[in-house]
Formats: sequence, structure tokens, C-alpha cells
Amino acid sequence: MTIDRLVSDVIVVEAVASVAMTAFLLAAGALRRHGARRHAMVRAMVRQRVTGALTGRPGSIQAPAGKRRVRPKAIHEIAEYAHTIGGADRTTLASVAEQFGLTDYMRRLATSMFWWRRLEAARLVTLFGVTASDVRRMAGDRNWLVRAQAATAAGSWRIQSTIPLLIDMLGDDAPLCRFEAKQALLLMGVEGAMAVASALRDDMALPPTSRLSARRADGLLDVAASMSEANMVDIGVAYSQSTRPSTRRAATALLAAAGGIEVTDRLTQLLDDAVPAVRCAAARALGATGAWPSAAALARHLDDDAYDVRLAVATALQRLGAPGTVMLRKVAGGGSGRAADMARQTLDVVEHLAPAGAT
Amino acid sequence: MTAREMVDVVLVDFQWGVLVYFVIVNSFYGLLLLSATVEMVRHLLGIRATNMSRLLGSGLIPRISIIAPAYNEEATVEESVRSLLAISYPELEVVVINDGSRDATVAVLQRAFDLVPVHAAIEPAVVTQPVRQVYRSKTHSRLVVLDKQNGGKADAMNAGINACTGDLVCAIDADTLIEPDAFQRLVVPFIERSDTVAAGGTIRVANGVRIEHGRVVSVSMPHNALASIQAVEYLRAYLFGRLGWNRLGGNLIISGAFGMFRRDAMLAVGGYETETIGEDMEMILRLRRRSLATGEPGKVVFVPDPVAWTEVPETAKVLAGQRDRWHRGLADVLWRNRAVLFNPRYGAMAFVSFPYFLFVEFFAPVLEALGIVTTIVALAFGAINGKFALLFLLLAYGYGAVLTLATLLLEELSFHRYTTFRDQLTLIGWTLVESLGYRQRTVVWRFRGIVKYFKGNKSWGSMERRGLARPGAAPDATSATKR
Repeated sequence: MTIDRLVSDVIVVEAVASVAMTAFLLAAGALRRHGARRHAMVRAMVRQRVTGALTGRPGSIQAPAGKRRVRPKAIHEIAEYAHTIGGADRTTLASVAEQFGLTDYMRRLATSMFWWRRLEAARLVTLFGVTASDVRRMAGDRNWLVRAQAATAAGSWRIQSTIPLLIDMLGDDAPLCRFEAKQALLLMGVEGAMAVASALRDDMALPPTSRLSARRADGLLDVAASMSEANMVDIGVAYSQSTRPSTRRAATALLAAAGGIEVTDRLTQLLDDAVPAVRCAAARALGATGAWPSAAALARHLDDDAYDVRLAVATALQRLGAPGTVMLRKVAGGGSGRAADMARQTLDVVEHLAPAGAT
Repeated sequence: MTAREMVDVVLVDFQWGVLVYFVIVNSFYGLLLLSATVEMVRHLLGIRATNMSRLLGSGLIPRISIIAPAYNEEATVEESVRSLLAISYPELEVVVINDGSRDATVAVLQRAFDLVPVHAAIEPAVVTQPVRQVYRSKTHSRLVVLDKQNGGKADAMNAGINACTGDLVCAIDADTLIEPDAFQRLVVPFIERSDTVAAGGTIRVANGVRIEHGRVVSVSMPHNALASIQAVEYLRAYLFGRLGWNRLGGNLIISGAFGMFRRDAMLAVGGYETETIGEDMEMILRLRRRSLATGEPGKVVFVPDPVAWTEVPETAKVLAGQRDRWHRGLADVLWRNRAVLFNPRYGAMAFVSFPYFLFVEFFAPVLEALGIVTTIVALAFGAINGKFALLFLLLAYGYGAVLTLATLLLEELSFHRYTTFRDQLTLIGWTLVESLGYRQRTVVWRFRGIVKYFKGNKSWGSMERRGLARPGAAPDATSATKR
């Protein structure tokens, strides 16, 4: 190939590519702007239909031409309302969406071979209403985003028959699925708390070889801690003796949430745990429970080797109020060193600023 | 063969070598663009219709500490901190580090946020210049201000890492404006994958955008020519440069202006390296090296939708200083981590991303400069004809312009932040003329950076800013960043 030919070929290729890209870019922009106008029409129509359905006064705006393209747009537009509307009104919204073929549309999406379409279906059922069988089907999906959405849906509609499935999902390989399963269990209310407590108690009774995986046990403890149920103290105490640091830490948080005088002794013992993260959690727990008799024990740990523990201890003393402040003053007045430093910093905060935890 | 003939042969062979180099480089850019497109499609399909605000109500999300170093930022610091405090995220702490400013940065903060000094009891997990005073705000309990002796940006960041309490640390520049929902988006990779140690978001050019009360209310292209070209450059760098690497061996850069890290991972590698001016890239390389060497988590991802806005230089002098500094930083980081190159222990990083940064990002200005000079010389000597010179320009610059147009298309099909027809035309226009002068100037600036690096220059230079809160402010309303 001669240089002349090469140059002319390159010029042609680059010119064609540039013109095509520019044309495509401008056309995409123009279409988007046109689409925005069309979308505004759909939005106005949907707004009127939704308002009409919710107030019992149907409107008169008709759907723009081109049903095939309008239907999904309208359904997604109605879905936007579902983010902020709850209770019976959501069912009303679903009935408005049904006017645009919601069921058919979701069925098509849910059986698609493409994960993003199945995910879209999962998100729509989360907003418009989901059944236990929908959740089970989605929870068995090979895509983790769809599985995570199954947990979101179950929690959003508080479908209590899915609680065992959510507990299973705490062992999922995908962190997002575990995260969503925890969130969903928290939304299940008393039934969720009972199921979580029951799963943990059943596990405690099993021999070590048959017990729940660390991932699932820690997940259940995290959920239990967020539920703040006083009747889970025995669970917290039992798991705080686990050989796994992550489990001891999660159990400590549960003890903090459960509260009560009976947990103070165990939490004070946990201040001497070998793992800093557990000591940190114990200090936070003592602060959270307001266990003022532990002030002296906490003050001893102002000299802990781990900075995070010293900080957590100081914050806990601050939260204990007067007994904690007395201890902080005692340590601050005791000369120099890291314990006195931490005590002085906390006292400055106590004297000048809002109490710990205030925002 | 006469001496003249030998010179001609050398010139022509060299020209062909440079041509082949540009074809390979631009083809790799094409591959990156393809990878970025796949990533973008996957990302958009995954996040579509996601209700991000749901995260805000969760008690299970990680705590984030923003660390914002400030040096002589009295003109912008109050507005910047206000915008940081306005970010929608429940578990948030803002740590501003005054790195020994010579102006009234601390006084402005004291007055604006009712700061009171508190005794400092910070564990120096990473050694830094002494912290003179710690301040807490009476009005904003989430705000902590450290006043320390000057030690440079990396040193200030390290002081922030020592003082902060979050599980995740977000490193930003004090003059960066973060969009309100950016953290809800940037935290997702850490929830989705337990091995994520760092995530970066997109930086966009704030010149020309309208900002009210610390929020971007309308986006348009800058009026200044240099800023406009940089808007094109930033789109290219983030939308296909960074995003494409998610699939091709992983990112080596998370911008120091907007990146999020796991605090324990940062402490495990000893914080930022203070002896380099490319501390952001150096941190990522160390995190990834440690991960590959020890099997610890080490995933570094780029997420395209969390956006931060930054002011870019509008004068050639300041821009030259910035590009020169960036290139010296790149040179230093590559040299410090030279053991990675083609070392099987480091997997794809050793054979794909690190060689790319060395042979493409670092050497490109050298080869481009040599290519331009030899083209002129060879033309003058008659060793090559005009057609050959044209071929060089087409392959070096024309190919690049086509790829940039493809990036603009990707932006239009994904986030389309530049909404008007006028802005689109402006972007296309600057893409086409970028190669006519501007790119050659950046080659000179970067080449100068290489020379300075070999002379041992590690200074930061200066960066004049008008202030994000006042896009239309008079040019004398400036602050200077000098390290």
C-alpha cells in the first residue's frame, strides 16, 4: 500500500467516523430533548390519573400516541409516586398502573433471560405489591442484584412467611444480599424479632460442628442488636463467649441494645477482651446502657493500648454523665500520658459542646 | 551511504516507530472505551430506578469521615465546609485540616462555625507534622477542625486519618463541591463487595456552572476557552479513562479530589506518602500491592455517577504548573513502584495497567514531542513528504479526536449533564480543535515536568482560584494554593 493510499484511507475513515459520531451525538441530544417533552406529557397524564384515583375524581387527559412506548413510561412514572406513598394508597397506585398493563409488563420482564429486566421487574413488584411466591422466585435468581431486591421487597411489604428465607439469605455470598436481608428482617417487627431470637437460641443448643456459619450468626446478632429487644440478654451473653472475635463483637452490640443491669458485669468483663474491636464495642455498650457503676472500670481503660478503645471509653464516660465526668476529671488531673490526654479532650467537649451523640 | 542518507533513514524509521506507537496507543484507548461502555451500560442497568435515599434510613450503613485539607483557602473554605455539612448522609463527620495556612483560614472557620479549642488526644497512627490545636464546633457537632504545622497535602490528609473516626474516609480537596447524593452512591461499592478498599467518583469542571448555597443548580459549558477544553479532557479522563480500567486490570488512580477509602486499609499501608506529589496514585498502588502480596482485600473501583465539581485553571500559566506537577507526581509514583513492572506477583496490574501508565501516560509527551520535532526536521530535510507528515497528524491526533467524540456520545447516552444544543456544539467544537495547539502545549508542560522531576523538583507550584461560590466573581477574588 502506498503512503498516498494510506493517507487517503485514514482521512476517509476518520472523517466518516467523526461525522457519524457527531451526527449520532446531536441526534441523541435532540431525541432526548424531544423525549423530555413527550415524557412531560406522560407525566402530566399520569399525575392526573393518580390524583384522580387517590381523590376519587378521574381526570380527562388522554395518553399520548404510541401505546407501546407510553405504557412502560407511564408505569415507571407511577412507580415514582410509590416511593413516597404507602398503605392502601399504594394498592390504588397499582390499580392505576394496571390500566397501563402492569401485570403483563412485569410478567414479560420477570421471565426475561436478561438480568436487568428481571431486576426491573423485581423493583416494580417491590413498589406495587409482592407475594411470598414472587419473593421466593426472585430470591432464587442467579443474579445477586435480583436476590437482594427480593429481600428489599419482602421487607417493604412485611411478608412474614419469607422470614426463614431472609435468615437463609444472611449467609449469601453477596454482601448486598446480606445487607438487604438484615434490613428486611428489621422491618418485620415482632415476628422478625421472634424468628431471629428463635434461630439464635436453636443454634445455641446445637453442637459446635452443626452450628450456623459465622456469617449467618453474626448477621442474626446484628439484626438482633438493631431490634433492641430486652429478652435477648441470654443470647448476647452466650454468644459473647464465642471463640470468634466478630461474633463476640456482634454479641456485645446486642448486649448494649438489650440493656439492663444484668448485662453490665458481662460487658465489664469484655473490656478485657484480647481483641481491640471487642473492647471498643464493650465500651460503647457500657456508654449506651448508661451503666454508671462501670465508670471506674471504664476509666482504667483510658490507658488502653488501642487508640480506638481509649476514644470509645472516653465517649462512654461522657455519656454516663456526672459519674463519668468525675472519673474523667480524676484521670485528667493525674498528670500526663495518653489517658490524661484523652480525658482532657473529652472534658473540653463536655464543657464546651453538646453531649455525645447529639448532631 | 552518505551521512545525509543515513540521517534520512534514521528520521524516516523513527517516524514510522512513532506512528506505530500512536496506532497502538490509540487502539488501546479504543479498547478502554469499549470496556468503559460495557461498564457504563451495566452500571446504568443496575442502578436504574434504585431508590438511593433508602440507604439514608438504614442503621447498618458505614460511618464516613470526610477529610478536607486546606491551605490558604480563606476565600473558599467557609462555603466549601458548608456544602460538606449539607451532604445527605446520616453517619458523617467532617474533618478540616488547616495545613499551616498563612492567611486567615482558621479565623474564617472559627467565626463561621463557632469553633472552640479542645485538648488534642489524637493517636499518631501515621506520623505527621505536629497538630497545634483541635477545634470543635458549637453549632455543628459533626465538624472537627485541626490546625497543624505545614507539611503538605499528604501530611494534612494523614493528620485527618489519625483524627477521624469513620469506617470509611473520603479524601477531598477543600475547594471541591460534592453533590448532595454523591456519598449515597459512592458508598454502594463498599456495601456490595466486602473486598472494596477504595472507590472514586467523577470530577467535573465547575467553571461555568451556577452554584447556589453550596449546590449546583444549573450546568453549562465554561465561557473560558482553556476551561472548556479541560471540560472535554475531564469527560474523557473519567468516563472512559477511569471507568474502562474497572474491567482491564483495575484502576491505579482514584482522584485526590474525590475518593473514598477504608480507613483500616489506609492505616495498614501507613497512610499517604508525604515525599511524593502524586500521593493519591501512590496510595492506590500501595493498597493494591499489599492486597496482591498478602491476599488482603484490595478492590479499587471507579463509580461514574457520584459527582464532585472542581474549579479548573483558566490561565495557561496556572494550567502549565498543574500539568507539570501532575506529570512529576506520575513519574515519582512509577519510579517508587518500579518493582511492579512485569512482576508476575502483581498479576494484571504488572502486565496491563502499570505498563500502560509507564509507556503511555508517562512516555507519551516524550514521544509526541520527538515525533513533532522529527516531523518538522524530516520535512525540512526532505526525508519525508507532506503526505507522511499528514499521516502522522491523522494517526496521532485525528484518531484521538474520534475517540473523544465517542466519549461525548457516551456522556450523552448516560448522564447528559450538558443539556443544551449550544453546549453540545461547544463540546464538539473544542474536541475538534483541541489538537490544534492545546495538546501540543500540554506536551510541552508535561515534558517540562519530566525534566523538573529528574532535576529533583518536588514543589507544588501555585493554583489561583476564584472560588466556587462566586463563579462570576472578580478576578482579584483569589486564593492561592502553594505547597
